This record gives sequence, structure tokens and C-alpha cells, in this order.
Amino acid sequence: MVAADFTAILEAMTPYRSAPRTVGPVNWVGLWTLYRKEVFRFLKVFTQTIAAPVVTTLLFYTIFALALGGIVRMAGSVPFLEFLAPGLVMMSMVQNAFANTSSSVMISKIQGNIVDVLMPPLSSFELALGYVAGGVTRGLLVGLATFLAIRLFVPVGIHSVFFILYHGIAASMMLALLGVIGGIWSEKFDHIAAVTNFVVTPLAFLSGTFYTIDRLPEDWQFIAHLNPFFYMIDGFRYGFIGQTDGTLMIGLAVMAAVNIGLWALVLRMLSTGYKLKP
Amino acid sequence: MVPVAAPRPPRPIGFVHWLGLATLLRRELGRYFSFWRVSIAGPAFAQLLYLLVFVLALGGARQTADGAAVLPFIAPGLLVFAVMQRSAESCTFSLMFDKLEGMVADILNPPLAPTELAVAYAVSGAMSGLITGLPIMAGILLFLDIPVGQPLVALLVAVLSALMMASFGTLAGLWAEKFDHVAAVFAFFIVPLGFLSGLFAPIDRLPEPLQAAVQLNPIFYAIDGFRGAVTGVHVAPIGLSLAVVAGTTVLLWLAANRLIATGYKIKA
Repeated sequence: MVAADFTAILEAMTPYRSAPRTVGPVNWVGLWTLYRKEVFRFLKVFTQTIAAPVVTTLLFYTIFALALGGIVRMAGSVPFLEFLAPGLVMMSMVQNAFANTSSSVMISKIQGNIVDVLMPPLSSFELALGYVAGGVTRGLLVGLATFLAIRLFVPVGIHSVFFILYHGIAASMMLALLGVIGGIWSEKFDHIAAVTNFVVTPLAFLSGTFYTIDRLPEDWQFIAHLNPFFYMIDGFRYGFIGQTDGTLMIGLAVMAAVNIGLWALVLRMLSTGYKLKP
Repeated sequence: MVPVAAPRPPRPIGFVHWLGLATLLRRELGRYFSFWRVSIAGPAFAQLLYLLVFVLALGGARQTADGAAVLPFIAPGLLVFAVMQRSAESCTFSLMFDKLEGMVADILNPPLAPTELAVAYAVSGAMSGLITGLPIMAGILLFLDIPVGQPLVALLVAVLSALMMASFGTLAGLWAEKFDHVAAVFAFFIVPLGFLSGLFAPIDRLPEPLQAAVQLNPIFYAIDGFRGAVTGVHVAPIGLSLAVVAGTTVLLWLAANRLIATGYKIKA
């Protein structure tokens, strides 16, 4: 009797029920929603996520310019100030791309709302792409803002738009992917702070942003060439000043290879649910 | 009738509530040590990294164009600035966290006078800053050959600077309503003030108007005084630096004391 009533009600409601949304090979709506969430997340606190990095980078620029001998010094055939600017822009880009994805994944895990991104019909690839695109967006925005701010003080020319865009996007993507990996792996904020302090910052600082690589002793030069950060900063800087420390083609290949490797790792982590799903 | 034990007489508290003071100090320092990766290892590593970058960037030439040795100039400044930054952070983050978590009652309810609270925050903040400085100092002494001219004066400047910034941090922690505010204080106020205080380069390299502005900045006197005590090279007389830092400390601490007493943003 009761069961029959329910059936009747359900039948009566049927015309008003929306059919399940069909999801094609790519869940565009879901992907866009995740991307929008990631972007609004950092835009909401733009003083911390955009303005603060720009101020910090300008400070670095000022003090290194003052401390390292000012206008007269040259790095290769360009003035030191022009040599320094692209590297600092790149450093702020990658640090922010990393911070965006790592903090987003980390905070969601700690607060338990990671289920909000795991439950919707998003594939591992769509999840990764949503997060990474958010990180890349922040990296590029910070980079652009920093570049414009530095440009007010020092005329930095543009030599090759291709190298600027390729390395800008590839480097932000690489660090955004690393951020996803770090965020998934970390179990508390201490862990992610350790990754930032002991891995990302040293690699960025020792990448040749502040000096030409030929200043290093022989053995160190070899080690510096193992650091992917060296290639992205060198290639990015080539895009501005047209002078390079390493081999440009190797740089393009290294960035592509590292990105492919990291993508594979992130997709593997997300599809097996490593530290995300019980 | 069940015999009822006589109620324990209230614990007498003298003029200063030493037990409460010690307990609060212990809690603050315990909190500091439990985050040692962020509060001790991180800053130490970052400062040594700065030095390494300077060593590499300068290459063989350890001197600037005007002949001043660069590393002995930078190292003491980095050390004392790291101490100051950590001292401020310690108080700000602790108060902010307690306020956000609604735990601020835990320090307001016990029979602690406002002055005791202000003392506990200043002392615990300064201590955590100075402890953070220890590994940095060890690293600097290990890698660089810097003879310390007047160790006692240097220690005095460091302690005063730490107290100054701990008091500042207490004020910032009372004022801030969310972590955005805290982040803004550090990113837009403390770090720029520090970096533009002759931390990395003598202030005579700055443009004229900035040079005058820098001399109004207490952090400049802390860094210059500490460096002067270590290397003997200073812009302002060390006595003046000591006086400015001590005077600022007293003013900031009195302000913190006053705000705690009136319950500014911590009592309903």
C-alpha cells in the first residue's frame, strides 16, 4: 500500500525531474568550475598572493642592486641590473605557482573539504588540470605584475617572445605540479613548509638568478646543470636579454621532459588515491 | 553524614604571580619548539642561503667597488634581523592563533595581571628570537672568519632588539583580526623596514631623501648597533643606537601593556 503510493508520487513527479546531465569525454563544466574556484581562491586575498610577492621581489631587486655594486657591474655583456631582473621575475612566478596548488590541496585535506573535489564526476586528469591551471594563472599574473613594476625602474627589453612564453608557462606548470605532489604528500603544514624551505627556495636561489654560472667552481658548474631551475631561468632570461649561460635547446627539452614526468606522477597519485582516498 | 574535607584555602599570590608567569612562558616556548621546522630550522636555512648566494654572486671578489668587505658586513645584519623577525612573529602568531581559535580566554581568565601578560609575551618572544639566532650564529662563525669586537655589547643590542620586536609583535597580534592582517604587517611593514635599513648595503648607497628617512627607523639602529659591536664599523654611534632601541622598546612595551589592560580587541 505504502510502496504503491511512493510509486505513484514518483510517477507524478517524473516529468519535472531533470535528466542526468550527460558528460562527454571531457567534463568541461566541472573543469571550469574547479579552475574558477582555484583562481577566485587567490584573487580574494590578492594583497597576499599578488601584491606581497611583487613588493618582496622589488625589495630583493633593490638590495641586490645596491649590495652587488650598482650600475657599473656587468654580467657577460649586459648590465647586471638587466641580467638580474628576468631571474627575479621567474623566481616570484614559480614560488607562487607552487604556493597556490600546494596550499590549496593541503588546506582542503586538513579541513576535510577535499571530498568536494573528489566526489564530483571529474577524472584524475581533469582534477590535475584544474589545479595546475589555477597555479599557472597565479604564476603568470604575479610574473606580469612583477615585470611591469621592475620595468618602471629599469628598461628591460624583449628579445624573444617565444622563449619568454615557453619558459614562463613551462616553469609555472612544473612548480604547480610539484605543488600538487607536495600538497598530496604532506600530512601537516610543517611538511609543506619544509618542502618550500628546503627544496623549492634553495633550488630557486642556487639556479643562477644572481650570478652567471661560469663564476662557479668547475664541479659546482656540473651540479648547477642538474638543476631544472637553472634551465628555466636561463631560457626565460634569454627571452629578455638574448644572452645565455647554457644550451637553449637542451633547456627546452629539459623543461618538457620534467613536465611530462611530473604529469605522469600526479596522474598516478590521483588515480590511485594516494593519501587522498582511504 | 559523610565527612566533607575542608575546602582548600585559596593559594596566596604575592605581589608578582611567579607561577602563572612561568606557566605562560613555558606554554609560549613549548609552542615555539613544537613548530621547530618553521620557527628554527627554516629561518636558519634561509639566512645561510642568503649568505651562500652572496658568496656565489660575488665570486672571487669579496669586496665591493669601494673596497668594503661584503660578507662581514652582511652576516651580522642578517643574524640580528632574523632574531628580530622571529621575536615579532612569535608574539603575533601566538596571539592571533589564540584569538581565532577562541582560546584567548585561557590567558585572560587566570589570575594574571595585564603587566604580567605583557612581560610574559615580551620575554617569550625575545627568547624565541634569540634561540632562533643561535644556529644562524653557529653557521656564520663556522663558515666566515669574523672576529667579534665587543661580544657583550652585541649581546645587549640583540636582547634589546628582540624585546623591541616582541613588543611590536604583541601590538600587531592584538590589533590583527585575521591572518591576512598579520601577513600584511610582515610583508609590507617589517620586511621592507628591515631590508631598507642597511641590511645588505651601507645606507650611503641610498638616494639622499631615503637616507634621512632610514635614520628615523629603529630597526636601522638595531642592525647598525649590532654590526658596530661585532665589526667595529657603524654609521650611528653605538651609544645612540642602544638608546634608540631601548627607548623604542619601552614605548612599544608600555603601549602593549596598556592595550592588554584595556582589553583592546581581546575582551568583550
